[in-house]
Amino acid sequence: MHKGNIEAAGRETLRLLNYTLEVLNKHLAAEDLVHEEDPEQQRQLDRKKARLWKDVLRNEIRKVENLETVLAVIGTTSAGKSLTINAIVGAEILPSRPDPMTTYPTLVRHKTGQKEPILHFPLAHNFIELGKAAKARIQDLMQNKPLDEIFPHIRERQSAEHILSGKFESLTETYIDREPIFQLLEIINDLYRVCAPLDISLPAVADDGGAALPVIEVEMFHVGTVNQEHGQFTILDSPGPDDFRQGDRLRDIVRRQLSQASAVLLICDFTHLNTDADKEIQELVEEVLAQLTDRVFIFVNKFDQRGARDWGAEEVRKYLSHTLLDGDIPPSRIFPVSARSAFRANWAKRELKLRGHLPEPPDHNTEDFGSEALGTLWKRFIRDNETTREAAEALWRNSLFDEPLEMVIRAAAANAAIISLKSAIAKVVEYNRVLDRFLKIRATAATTSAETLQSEITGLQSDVSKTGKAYDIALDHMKEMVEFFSSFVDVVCQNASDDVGNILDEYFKTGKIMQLAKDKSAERHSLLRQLLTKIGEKFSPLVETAEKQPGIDLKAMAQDFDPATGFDSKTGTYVLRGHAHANEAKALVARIRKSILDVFLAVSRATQTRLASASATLSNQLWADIDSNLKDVLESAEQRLKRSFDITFTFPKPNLEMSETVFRDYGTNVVRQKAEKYERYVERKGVAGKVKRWFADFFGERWGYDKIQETREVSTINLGALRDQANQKLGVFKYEMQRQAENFVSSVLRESVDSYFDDLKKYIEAFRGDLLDALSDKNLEKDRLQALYETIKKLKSEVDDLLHDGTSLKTALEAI
Amino acid sequence: MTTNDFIEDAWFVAVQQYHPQLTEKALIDLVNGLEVVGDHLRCRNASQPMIGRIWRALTGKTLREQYIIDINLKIGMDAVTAWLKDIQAFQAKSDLALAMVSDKLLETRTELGSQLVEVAAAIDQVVEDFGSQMNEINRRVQELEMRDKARNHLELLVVRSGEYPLRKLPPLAQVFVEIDELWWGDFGSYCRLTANAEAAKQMIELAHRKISEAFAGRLGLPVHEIVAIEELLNPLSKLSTGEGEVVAYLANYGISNRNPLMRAIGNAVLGGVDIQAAAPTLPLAISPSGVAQRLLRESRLATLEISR
Repeated sequence: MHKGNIEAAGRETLRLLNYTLEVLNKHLAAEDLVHEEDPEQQRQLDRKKARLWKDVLRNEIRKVENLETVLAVIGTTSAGKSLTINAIVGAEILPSRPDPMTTYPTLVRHKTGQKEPILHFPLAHNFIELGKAAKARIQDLMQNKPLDEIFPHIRERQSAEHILSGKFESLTETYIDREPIFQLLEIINDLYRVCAPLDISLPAVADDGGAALPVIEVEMFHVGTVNQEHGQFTILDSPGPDDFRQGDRLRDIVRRQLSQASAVLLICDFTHLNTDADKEIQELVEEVLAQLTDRVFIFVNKFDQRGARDWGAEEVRKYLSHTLLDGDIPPSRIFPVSARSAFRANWAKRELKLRGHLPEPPDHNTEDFGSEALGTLWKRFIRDNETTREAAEALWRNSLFDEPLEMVIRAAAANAAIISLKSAIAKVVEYNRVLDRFLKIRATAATTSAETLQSEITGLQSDVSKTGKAYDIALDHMKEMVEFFSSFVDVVCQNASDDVGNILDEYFKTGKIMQLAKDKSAERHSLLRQLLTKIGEKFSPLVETAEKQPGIDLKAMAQDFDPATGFDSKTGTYVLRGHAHANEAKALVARIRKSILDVFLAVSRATQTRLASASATLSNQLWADIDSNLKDVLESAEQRLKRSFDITFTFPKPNLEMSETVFRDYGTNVVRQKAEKYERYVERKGVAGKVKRWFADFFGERWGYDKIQETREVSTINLGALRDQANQKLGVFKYEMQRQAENFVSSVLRESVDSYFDDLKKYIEAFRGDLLDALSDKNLEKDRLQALYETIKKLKSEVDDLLHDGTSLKTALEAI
Repeated sequence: MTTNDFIEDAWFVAVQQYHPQLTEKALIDLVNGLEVVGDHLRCRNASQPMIGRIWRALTGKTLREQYIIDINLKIGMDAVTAWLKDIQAFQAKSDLALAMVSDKLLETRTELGSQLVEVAAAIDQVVEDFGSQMNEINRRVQELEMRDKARNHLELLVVRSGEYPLRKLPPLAQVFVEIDELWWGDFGSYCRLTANAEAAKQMIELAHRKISEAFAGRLGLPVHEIVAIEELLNPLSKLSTGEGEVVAYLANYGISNRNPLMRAIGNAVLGGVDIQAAAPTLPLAISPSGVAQRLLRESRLATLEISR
């Protein structure tokens, strides 16, 4: 769909919104038609609901008129995400450092005329409270162990130190200019980093999106001109993949934000392509962006660091699109760029536009821009505005940013319109569908006798009672299924536990892993089959589902491990001697930790897949049972009302995720370091020494050497302790999985069924309520009744048109 | 009659063959236009060019000539007889025209009372003839013959021969003329008269699908692609005089406030598009599927008004 037609669709949406508003006003203005809310009588439309709908429609009108385009930027570790955002803005509004930085989503909004960035932070108070809680928890923990044991990672430790110093207490709701903004972002990131390992939840962000996120307002150079006809433009700075793995509230916040984004720009590092870092790109696209691939664009940053033998632009596109992402993102949406050059160029262009000149050296941005754009003699030309402008334009072109950025912004603007229009038109259709039903029922009184109406009302009352009986039956079924699901969870968790146990055994033993992998896998499946067969054929689809699920690929797992060479199986320790090996010991523990963690996460994912699949089958069966029990009731009600019920119902899916926080303290206290004295021989100097050593070699003696005593550092890794810790974590893992699964069936599923029956009851009750009104209409005076029927007829005709046009536009928007 | 008139009439006769709704609508207009006031017959719309053309094409007389005859003969029996003959010459086929004209004739007969026995007898004869035709239509509907005819009507609608005189119409005008024709032909009769409401609904859905696809094909768009309404209406202002007259006559027929798109089509042909004037009922952007659906609905409403 081209731009003109999207604009036309926007005009049509506004017409439908305004017309629906007008029709609602006519409903409210009509005498005897819409009654006040009554807790004793459900209605499809009452005055309170109509007023609420009007507010919603006005809000939708505002949203369509002030369209906001949100470009979410997400990046692999240290790929240059912040630098890319700075390049788009043309100013250094986010700290761009080699270490991963952003952990909390931040919005950057274009505001014409806002030269210095200004940050609004509506949740400042909540974050102060969060800081206080974190500080108290750290102080509490520090009574038993030192800070470096609580936070083994240096970045977390530094953040904890900042929190202990009380930096967060100075948080306010507004920050002006770069440095204060950087300080605020640092405090937020400190809090986030520390809260995750301490299991402290981040403040909740409301469902309506980014209202509670930090927002930086600033005039974006270039973007402002490209996007000016599309309304407001905002960049969402999203956390990186490391932060997504935490499995906490942050991921939900980011996912919700991403799902509402107009386009997503993924930044990856050209210099890391075709290395282990590729996994990150795949992970981001597969896990986080799976539902959004039609809106994803990729900037392959640092393309300016390409060597003569490196891939060219086309090869990069093909590799990413075809090899790495299985065609999920076409080559036409992948762009090799240089964020560094783009930032320098756009910064210079913005400065020249806003201030008329570049800041005087030694400003570091002026120096960076000058040396890259003007070469070694940059100081000679830097004050010549015309030359610097030309150089900035040339550098901007060289950055390869121009065309892709424009394409991304335009695509984002088009998507923004579509997302906003879809939301608005859904409301138009929903409300007019209810109005249509409401008017139909009220109009029945004109052609139906009071006796018939009364009979229908009694019939609907009976239908409501029958739904109550169907609910009781559903609860019985659910109880039965919960028992089965618990057994199933036991088996699956036991299997997962076996998988981890086997891998740990092999890890600490070495050898025979291939054979064992095969045997254990066969044994496991056999056990599962036996148990499921015992449970009977009643749940046969579930048995099939479970068998179809792949087990853990132990072979693949085994290949990922470094065999623990040098391991002393008698003592259960691994000893490294010498100062240089102290770091090596820590590195080895880190490697083991990572391997074990990978195993747990892989098993966790596979278990989750199995349980999700099983619960889906279970949910479908439960739904089929409910459906079958309700069939007669619904048919009877439907026949009574001569229309179809449009209730749609979906069961929730379980969200069983292994949090990495379980493993935070894994691998601590297993390396012991001590000093030991030892003797060694050094060559004696002089000719005599040489002669003696010649004979010594011949006779196998140590002649010609002097014996000296020295002290050295010995690092002993206690692999037995590592193994014990892993087993302990395995217990926690199994317990967590079972707890989550039980919570799903006993709480989430139950709530869902309750909510369904409650909605259904209200739905039928609302028809009954409208019929009661239709019955009482018959008591009106003849003239008033006639006027009411005339009004209903006119309104019905308008609602018909709105419903048809709305549905047609909704279908058209969904087809895009 | 000039050579140009002759050529135009030949073209017009060809159009009428493809679009018999022109004849049916003209007949109803004519009957509506002839008010019976006592024994006086008047032609209210003598200057209406489209009816004149249809009249001339069918009877060989201009409407003006007929008007003069009517005026001169006043309440003369010849005038009424001539009028009745002309009505018969229209050869009404749709249930709409048959019902509407019969009603009007019976009204006229009542007005005449016992004054003109012979005229009354002639009217009775025409009403009887029309009644027989209505019975025949009802019989065919009941025996499902009409369902097949309705389906054939729909099938043939979107495939026109090379001689089809309106093949160069802009897509919106063409789809409108086609849908209008549906409701005045076998398709419309079936949907109105069948007792099986579900079958009629399915027939209308089939029509919607087929017409949407044909219309989208002519526009070179997917069926659900949204287009600004101006893009569809603007080409209508460039129609030739004859085409313009046909489309405007059909579009401005039986108008009520429930037919904003039909009205916009008629206005676009006659003088230009005034989108604001049509607000808030006219869609500002619409897909080919939406156009087909809306015109099916609007056109149907227009015929329902007549059948009331």
